[in-house]
Amino acid sequence: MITFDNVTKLYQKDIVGVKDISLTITAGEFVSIVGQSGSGKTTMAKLIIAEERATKGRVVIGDWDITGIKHSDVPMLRRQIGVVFQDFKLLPRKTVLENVAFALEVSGASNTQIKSVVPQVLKIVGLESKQDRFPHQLSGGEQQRVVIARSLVHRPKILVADEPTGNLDSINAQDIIDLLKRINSFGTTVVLVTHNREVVNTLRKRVITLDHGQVIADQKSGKYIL
Amino acid sequence: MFTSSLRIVRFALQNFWRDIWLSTVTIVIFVLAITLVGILSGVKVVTDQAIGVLKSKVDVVVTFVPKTPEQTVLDLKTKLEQLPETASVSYISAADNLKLFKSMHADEQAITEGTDALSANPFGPSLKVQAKSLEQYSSISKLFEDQAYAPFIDSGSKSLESNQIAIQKLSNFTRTVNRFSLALTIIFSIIAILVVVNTMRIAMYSHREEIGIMKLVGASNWFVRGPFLIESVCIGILAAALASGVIIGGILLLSHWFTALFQGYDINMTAYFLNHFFSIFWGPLVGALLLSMVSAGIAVGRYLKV
Repeated sequence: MITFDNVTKLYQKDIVGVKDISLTITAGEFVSIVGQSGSGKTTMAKLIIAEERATKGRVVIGDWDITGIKHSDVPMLRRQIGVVFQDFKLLPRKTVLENVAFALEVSGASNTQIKSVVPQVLKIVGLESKQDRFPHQLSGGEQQRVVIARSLVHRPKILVADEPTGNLDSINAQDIIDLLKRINSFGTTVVLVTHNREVVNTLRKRVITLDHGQVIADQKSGKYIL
Repeated sequence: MFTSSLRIVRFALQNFWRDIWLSTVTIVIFVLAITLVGILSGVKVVTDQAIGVLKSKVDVVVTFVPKTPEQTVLDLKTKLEQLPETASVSYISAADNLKLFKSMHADEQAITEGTDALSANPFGPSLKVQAKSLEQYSSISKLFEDQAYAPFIDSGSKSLESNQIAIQKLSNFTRTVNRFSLALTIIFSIIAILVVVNTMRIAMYSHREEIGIMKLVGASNWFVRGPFLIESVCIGILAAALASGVIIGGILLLSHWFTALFQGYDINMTAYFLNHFFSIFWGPLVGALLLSMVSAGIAVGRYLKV
């Protein structure tokens, strides 16, 4: 469960990231956070993975209040949350297999575990035949699938996807959304940050709409209303 | 912990190899910086040796008038030996002085015949004094003004006065050379340090996104920093090894020049360099290694706050 309790994030003194946000995302939900550029969507994603700290209010992941999380505890939090970025953020000097394995290696998983889990996850995202390629040898859609594989490999309870289809064509975008739905069907909470109207409208899942850093709509089975 | 450490080493070697161009460029710049400071260290050694040779040739000879009681000469010798500034004192008897004079003028018939015609030895005994440093001759010479010895010292012996001027000139020259060489070493060391630190900073800057990604995936600071530190150690070691090769090659190439420079003296500069290689060049070699590690650590630290 993710709880935002009256959360405000200010950049410098007067630039509002998000303002007075209170909401709860329950375990296993698929939630789309939508809004125009600068509405605070990415700030919410960054608050969940402690890339940003709330100026006011509380952010709670499960039973863990991460509002004032110590720097040394951040890696532990991030090992429990999968993150997918619009710009992929793959390690350029590592192959597909190594990129995915890296998420397990940082958490101290054994080599046996890595050898058994990574090929399975690569199979889920359909990249088992390209495991020895480097990121620059893959298409945008394939790179995004590697990112999803990496975010899944440590079996996170929460997956945060920040504009995962932003750099993809419509066919690849639909593939990625199907993959996220499949992951959600396994019980993983998915938080999808997007401004893709088509994607949101076809999902028919919960939609939280932000405008100027504030929640202006929270629909259980909603549509893109802006 | 052990598995993580092995992974860090593996990542470091993997990164080094997969980014071989950046690694090579970094190593080349390091080699140039180390060699630059190494050359200066080498030049300083050669200069020190050359100055040492000059200094070893400097001495003061005090000649006594004939018929000076031997005990007076030996007393002065003992007093000179007791001075902390004195390196050595050697006694030359009147007979030895005559023999020396004859051998120096063996080709001059008139002088040879003249000295042979003399019924008595016209020379007195003398003391040859060497100080531990050039600056100490003036304090040693004060002893010669002692009333117990001054009347016996040959007033015609100009060795003392003329040597004092030459010693002063040599002393000034060596001081200037040492200061110049120290200033050059400091300037070029600062340049080398800046080059090494900035090369490492640029190398880390090119990996800043990678560092951020590692952090976002959940890597701890030491798991991110570790491979970069080990990579910098690899670069430092390889650069030090290559720079050593370049310097040794240079020494061997210049061996003929060293032989010519120290001809007539018991100095084998090439052997000296090779036998004392680490003690002469440890500064730039170890310095580059430590600097690369420290600058890599600091540079990575700047990008860890994600």
